Amino acid sequence: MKNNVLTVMKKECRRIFNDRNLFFTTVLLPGLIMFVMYWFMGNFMGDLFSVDEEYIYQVHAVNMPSSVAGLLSADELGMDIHNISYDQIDEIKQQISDRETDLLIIFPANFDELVATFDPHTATSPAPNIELWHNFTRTESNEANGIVMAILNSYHHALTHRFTINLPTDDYGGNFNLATDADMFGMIIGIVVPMLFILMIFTGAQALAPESIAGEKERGTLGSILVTPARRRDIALGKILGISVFALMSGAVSMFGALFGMLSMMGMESGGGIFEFYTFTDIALLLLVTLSTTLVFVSVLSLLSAYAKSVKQATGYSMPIMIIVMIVALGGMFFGGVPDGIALFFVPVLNSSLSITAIFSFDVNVINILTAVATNLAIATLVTFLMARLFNSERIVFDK
Amino acid sequence: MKEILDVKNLSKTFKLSKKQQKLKRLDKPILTAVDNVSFKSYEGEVFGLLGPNGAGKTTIMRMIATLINPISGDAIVDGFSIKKDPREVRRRIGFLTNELKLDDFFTPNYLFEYFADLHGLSKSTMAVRKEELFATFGINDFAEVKVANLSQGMRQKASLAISIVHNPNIIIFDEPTNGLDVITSKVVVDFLVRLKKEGKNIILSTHIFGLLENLCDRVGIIIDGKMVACDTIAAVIAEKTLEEIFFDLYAQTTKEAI
Repeated sequence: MKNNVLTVMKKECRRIFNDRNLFFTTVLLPGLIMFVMYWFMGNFMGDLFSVDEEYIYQVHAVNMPSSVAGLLSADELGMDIHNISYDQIDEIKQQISDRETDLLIIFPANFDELVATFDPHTATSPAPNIELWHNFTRTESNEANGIVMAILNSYHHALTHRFTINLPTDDYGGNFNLATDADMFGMIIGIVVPMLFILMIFTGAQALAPESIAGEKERGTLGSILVTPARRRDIALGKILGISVFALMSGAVSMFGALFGMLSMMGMESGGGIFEFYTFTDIALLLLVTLSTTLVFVSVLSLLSAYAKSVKQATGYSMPIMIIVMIVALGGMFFGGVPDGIALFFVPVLNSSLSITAIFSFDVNVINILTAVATNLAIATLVTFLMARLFNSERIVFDK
Repeated sequence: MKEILDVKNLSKTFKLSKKQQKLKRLDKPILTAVDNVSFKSYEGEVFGLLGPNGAGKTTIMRMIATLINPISGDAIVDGFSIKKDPREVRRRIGFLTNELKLDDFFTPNYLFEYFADLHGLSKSTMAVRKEELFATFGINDFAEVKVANLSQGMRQKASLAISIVHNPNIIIFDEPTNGLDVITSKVVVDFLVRLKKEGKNIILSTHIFGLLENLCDRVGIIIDGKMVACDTIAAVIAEKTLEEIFFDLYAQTTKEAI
């Protein structure tokens, strides 16, 4: 007897490849949506929350002390400081509220002298207070507030503790962040992508399994296969592998769509960067995790589809599973990194989420990830065995 | 004569939902579909099962085809038990029923090759069978058209060809003309006649008296899951027509006047 697993698998693949609409909506469209969504978010939100480099912030100050005036007048800050009197405060506040100007700073009179004589250990009166008025909904106002706040904070520390913290210098500007592009990319991808990726694989499987199993049952074509001498186990495995090929393709296309879209969103235009960040081992582990996760989803959804009387019912059965998958995959985001212990890598879905997070955020523990893969493969094998048993049940073929 | 099929005390019950129990007016939520049925069929024979709708014919056919399991009894098909060796039984039978259909998304050509693969045929054997059967049924004209786009007659021809792709020795037909138009029914009947001439063993369930009288060597009459008569067709219709015999038995068994 030739290999019936391959025969059944090839038929499943042919079925999907030949149906252009199904192939497009199941495999290509999710990835395209991911890419467009993140690309759009990157471009649109980037424009929305960034200030033109040439922009000059309009800053109004009352009682501007000479010490702070010196710090704020640096050319690279791009601030136009207007000294105003107490009488103009309300008018400027209104202008800020009306989004016509950016920032109002109110210093107490004789600020430099007050600060010089103020001793936080012996003082009986409150420290001199500076008020910063801005409009959060105006990007320029928000940005100006952030810059001035940072400078004042640094100045505050310098005066109190007699040393400076990250004051802008000629060498470093204001950026003392030593994280590389890879770290930044890994951190963001590690948080967002695992859940999305898992969901995309699930939805790919969800689109195909009910059609392949319950659909065949509904159309009366499953019985035609079951009356051949092909082993039930081979039929079940062939179907699961055939669907998995497309769920994997769907997941892979979705993930690359998300990755390239995110690169665009983060302003990292070079797509090749992804492959510079990760090693061959990372990519091999990612493929293993993806494959084993796909097999778990496809086998479980196929089992449910075999129980269902129709495609509609099978899709209905899969919805609670989808919610569970979402919650568990989302749960992986709340560990504040990847736990060191092995226990959570035995929990399906969560183990995939944590493994993918670990790979993307350069925190790989090979034993943990291989444990997750082995767990997933064991579950998929068990479910495939159950499905083969189910194909022996008359209820599966004739219960409509 | 060699026994090709030996059905021994075959029984089958189905669990019913409360709604089904109420509709069938039964005391227990269990329906006895087949009740201790036994019969034999010999090499080269056409065995006909006759009975009204719901009598249990289809259930018997499905049990012989190993699609469902009996609760008791057994059937030996060409020397193999449906309970112990279902795969060997499936290797030896072709099963055709209107309930088992061909996938709309594929062409007859592809499906023929697909089922040939599942039956373990070599490429060369499959090619020979395809040429022979496609020519017999005139399938070549629509071999590359998706099943969804075929007429009912074309579909039936494709189904017939595919059901015997592996050249089985025993062919089971469960109400093969049910729901078919006259033209398509003729395709099926001609096919049955052809198989009989080829010396194939046929198990046929139908409620078309004429078909049974003309084609069958042996007939069994099933009413309410029980085999109420079983003999050669010559013996059964010695005094009355098959139709008269059937309605007499039906009235006696069900106490319903026709």
